[in-house]
Amino acid sequence: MIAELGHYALILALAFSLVQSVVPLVGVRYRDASLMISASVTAVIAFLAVAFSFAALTDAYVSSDFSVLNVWQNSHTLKPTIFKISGVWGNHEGSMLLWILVLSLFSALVAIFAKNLPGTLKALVLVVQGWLLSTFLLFILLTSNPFERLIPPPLEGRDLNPILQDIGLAIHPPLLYFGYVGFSLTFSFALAALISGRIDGAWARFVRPWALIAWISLTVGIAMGSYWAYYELGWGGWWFWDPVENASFMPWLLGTALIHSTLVMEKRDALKIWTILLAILTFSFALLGTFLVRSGVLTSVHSFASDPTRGVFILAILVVFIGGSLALFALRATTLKPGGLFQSISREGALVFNNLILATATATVLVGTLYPLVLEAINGTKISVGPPYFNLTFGPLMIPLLIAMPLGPLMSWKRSDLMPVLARLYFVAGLSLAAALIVASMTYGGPVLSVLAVGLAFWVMLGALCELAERSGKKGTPLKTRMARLTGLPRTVWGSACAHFGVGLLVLGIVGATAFDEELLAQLKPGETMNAAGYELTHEGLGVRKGPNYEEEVVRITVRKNGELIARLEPAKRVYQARKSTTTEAAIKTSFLTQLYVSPGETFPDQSAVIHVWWKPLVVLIWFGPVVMAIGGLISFSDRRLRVGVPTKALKKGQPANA
Amino acid sequence: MTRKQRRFLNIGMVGAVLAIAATLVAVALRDEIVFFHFPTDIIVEKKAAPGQRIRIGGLVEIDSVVREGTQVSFTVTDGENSLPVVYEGSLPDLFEEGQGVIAEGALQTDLKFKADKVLAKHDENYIPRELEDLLKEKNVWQGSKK
Amino acid sequence: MDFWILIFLLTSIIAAFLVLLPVVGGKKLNVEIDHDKALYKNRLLEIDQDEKLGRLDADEAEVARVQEARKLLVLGQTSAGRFSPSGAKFSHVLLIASALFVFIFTVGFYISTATYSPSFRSFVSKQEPADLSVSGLLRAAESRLAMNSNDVRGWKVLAPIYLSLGQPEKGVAAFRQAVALSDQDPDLRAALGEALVVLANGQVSDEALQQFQQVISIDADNDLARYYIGLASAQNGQGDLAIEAWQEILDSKPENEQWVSFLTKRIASVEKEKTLSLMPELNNETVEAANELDKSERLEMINGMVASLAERLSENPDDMQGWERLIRSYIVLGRKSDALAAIQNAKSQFASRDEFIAKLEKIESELQ
Repeated sequence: MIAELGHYALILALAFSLVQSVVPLVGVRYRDASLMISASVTAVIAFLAVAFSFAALTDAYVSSDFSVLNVWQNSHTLKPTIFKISGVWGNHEGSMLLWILVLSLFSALVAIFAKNLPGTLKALVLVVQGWLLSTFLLFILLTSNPFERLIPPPLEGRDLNPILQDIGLAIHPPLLYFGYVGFSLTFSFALAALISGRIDGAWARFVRPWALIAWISLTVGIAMGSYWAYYELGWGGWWFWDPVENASFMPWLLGTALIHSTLVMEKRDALKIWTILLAILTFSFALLGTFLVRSGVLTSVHSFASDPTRGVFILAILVVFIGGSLALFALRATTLKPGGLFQSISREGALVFNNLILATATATVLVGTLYPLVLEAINGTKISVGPPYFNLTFGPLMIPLLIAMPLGPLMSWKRSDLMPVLARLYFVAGLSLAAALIVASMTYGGPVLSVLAVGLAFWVMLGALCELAERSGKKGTPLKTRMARLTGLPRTVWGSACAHFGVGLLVLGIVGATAFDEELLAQLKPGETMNAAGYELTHEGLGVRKGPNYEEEVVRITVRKNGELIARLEPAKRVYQARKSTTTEAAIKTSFLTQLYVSPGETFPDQSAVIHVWWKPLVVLIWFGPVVMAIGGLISFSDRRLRVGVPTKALKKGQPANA
Repeated sequence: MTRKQRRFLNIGMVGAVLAIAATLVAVALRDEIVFFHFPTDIIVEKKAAPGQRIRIGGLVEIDSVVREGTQVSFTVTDGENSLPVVYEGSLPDLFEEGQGVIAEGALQTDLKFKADKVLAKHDENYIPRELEDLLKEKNVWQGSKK
Repeated sequence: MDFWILIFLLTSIIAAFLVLLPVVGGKKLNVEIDHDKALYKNRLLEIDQDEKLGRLDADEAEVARVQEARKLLVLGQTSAGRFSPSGAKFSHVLLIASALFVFIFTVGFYISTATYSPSFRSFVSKQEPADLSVSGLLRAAESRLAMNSNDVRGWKVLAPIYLSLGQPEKGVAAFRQAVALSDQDPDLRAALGEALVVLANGQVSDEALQQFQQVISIDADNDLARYYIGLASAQNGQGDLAIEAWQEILDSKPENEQWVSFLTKRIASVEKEKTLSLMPELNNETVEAANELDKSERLEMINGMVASLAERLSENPDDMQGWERLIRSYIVLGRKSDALAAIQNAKSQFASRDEFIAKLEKIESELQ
């Protein structure tokens, strides 16, 4: 009966979110406090109901209740418990439920924790959240009910796609959804501001923590997805520019722009209209990301048509929310008062530049993602847009962004001069150049562009450190004072320096793993050895291993360097019994930042095996960089002032003007 | 600088960035996209010149897969014509005879297709959309079993 | 009425009342609904905190407070009197209406969309409460299929249940439906054939055989169909064909171990039957008659029958099976020399049939 209760709880949640969509709005209109407060009550109850429903589905999965259709389709008794749980969101219905759970969780968080929010703003934010929640609850209840019964229950389930049975994928979607759905709050805040017509620096301050949570989750989520693809797909690639990845990358780019522009709005009351638009667009892209991918539009036009009700419903949701919010924006944006003025060369100017580049980059990714669809719709030509397109369009756009990155934080608000800022970065520029030259000499004859990119990576990283050093005091300041000032710096400063440093690490990782990597493919008989990137890999024989719901053929490989044993690797081909499908399990040897990636190929009757080896220097930084970025976000998030609001600068006479 | 000049400069900068981006996109869409063809397009209609980077797709012909060391050769068919493909590297897990496949690479002068990337369907229900169209058209494939 | 229906109703009612919470606690929550006042309060709090932390000294804090207050006054003048606060009565009515809405909506939506909840259905439609026994579930599934008779999966699921409940007619009918809807799914057709066999008390009827042959024409590797075609041969007295067919299945190395052991057993038992049936045909009468005789008499009777077979063959030597049976009979009876002689005879009779000759030679070599 638990499944019925879960279904019932969803309906209950829908009823509450419908109330939440209307009643507080009436409260705002007539300035009635109790009607406005009802939004907080309904938001919390709706969350509890959805959480119960989610727990009910999880219970059905864990107890392998195959009388629930969804469980039968995606689970198996032999599956380890962790994958039974992750199987809940490894399919359309369950992932929709997770999406809704996160959405209602964010509403509840606002209801409970946003105590200092003006009542009207809070009520309006929750009203918009109510609109979103009721729409998606309706969607799941009418087209994708996860609690559908299957009578009589089969004895055994059909199992989850084995490629999804991985710890990386157990955590990756929830994080990604946290990111996507987190931006629903910035969307709701933007609409609330447009409805009430009150947009000021305080608004940006209220939005920023939520935007940061969303951005942090999305950053980690994307990085984790990339790492999962890297080791699970067995090709040694970490980013494929495929539509599914782009769908998560576009909201990330816009979200990054958003957390920068809210900074301007918070501090200088400027860029209001743009920030509101960004908040709307970011969530719109997140919606596109989840639903176009989920519905299959991006991978296949036809799977969309295979379930017309679902597809049409999704399309309607997208049109109503994206179109509606943009229409409201067009209607109200002109009534907004423009904020503080600033010169092009200033902190604001640098942040505008950042926004300009990020938005343009998003546009290029969007064009590359949708162009094949559009072209096919127009004249039926079938094409694919792959990495070369993105390397040519997205890549060059990043260069000015990276160059400007250390400059921005060193500029002052309102007006600044380029020369003094550059003067402070002489040292950094020199060191970066030196780093590039060292790399060039080490990899003599290597690609010139990559050497420049290494320099750029150091420029960004050292620039971030330089900002901290500059803020600790002028030349000649004693170390003790410097340390004291550093610890006294606002956490947002630390946060941004950390995040920027992370970007530098990421760039370094990308360059290392793509420009200086080595790849080798060989067929080895047992006992034979191949040399790759200074390692000797010996095929020690084949073996068979049995897992809980799979069996795998293992290629035993020992890795030696100068005759000394470094690692024993056991890449494998896994066969999952329930679906009779195979996955490749690459084996990875990490030594500090560099990885040796070994993927098994075909095996032959004479026990020989094809072995695919990649040596990827600094590849770890590709995922460590984003983690550092996310840590920067967390530091920034933990800033008390961010959540409480800072007194206007004019009041702080005699205080050092730190941001 | 007057206010007007400043404004002009700002708009100019925004315009410049957008113009550069638009140019890059236009160039990339002209040169860096990869066309998709079926064996019939290539063999009968000669749609691709040797050396040009293209994607081909179809079904892996039964009993056509031959492995010699690290090299694999197989035949891709669209029901009417077949194209031999040679590939060096590891095949995706879901590569199978009688199943859909997409190969990226270039045609050689001997009308063999040299692939450097082979993609198989992602799961048992997914088939690349280009393939699905054709196979449905030619009744080779009966639609995804769901 | 089940206890969980009570739970549904109770949760709805309680939940609905939760909407009314603001009516009770609204005043105590003391929420600042005015945008500017809320911001003002926030700033005052911050100034207090900054003063406490030493970021502002007392004078500066005071100046800041005055400035904030002045700003609020200015804003207050512009925004005052835009709305007239409504009475408490209005909001109470609206919230009570919401609570009612939650209750009615939830129950109504659930009743109209619940896919399966027999007890709830029966409660709503005032029928006998459905039982969850096999036959109860069967009825539920039947009624669902009655509404949607194009549901292949439903028929597929239902058919084996009928069979296991000892209702092969219904099972066959259900499989027929499923086959018709499934667009020639060979597995389903094989299952239909099997159901027909069950219906015919284990005999592979002509219709069943047709079904299996159709399966083979689509899917030559269908083990089930191959097995039953073999069984059909066995039942027609062509044990060799049956063994051959089953051996082929075994040679294709099926993965299911139970299947393998089942087939091996079947082959063994048919082999045994074959040797038995190679004895001259014994109909019920002769068996009864034989039972009444004592051992020596029985042997004599059998010998007599073998003699008649030999006689028949000498008149009509073109019967390969007959020869084989005769030879085996001699062997069983221990008449080695007769057996060898018969083999020679048969060999000369079928000199052109290599297969048969090979078989005979094999038997010959076993004998010597």
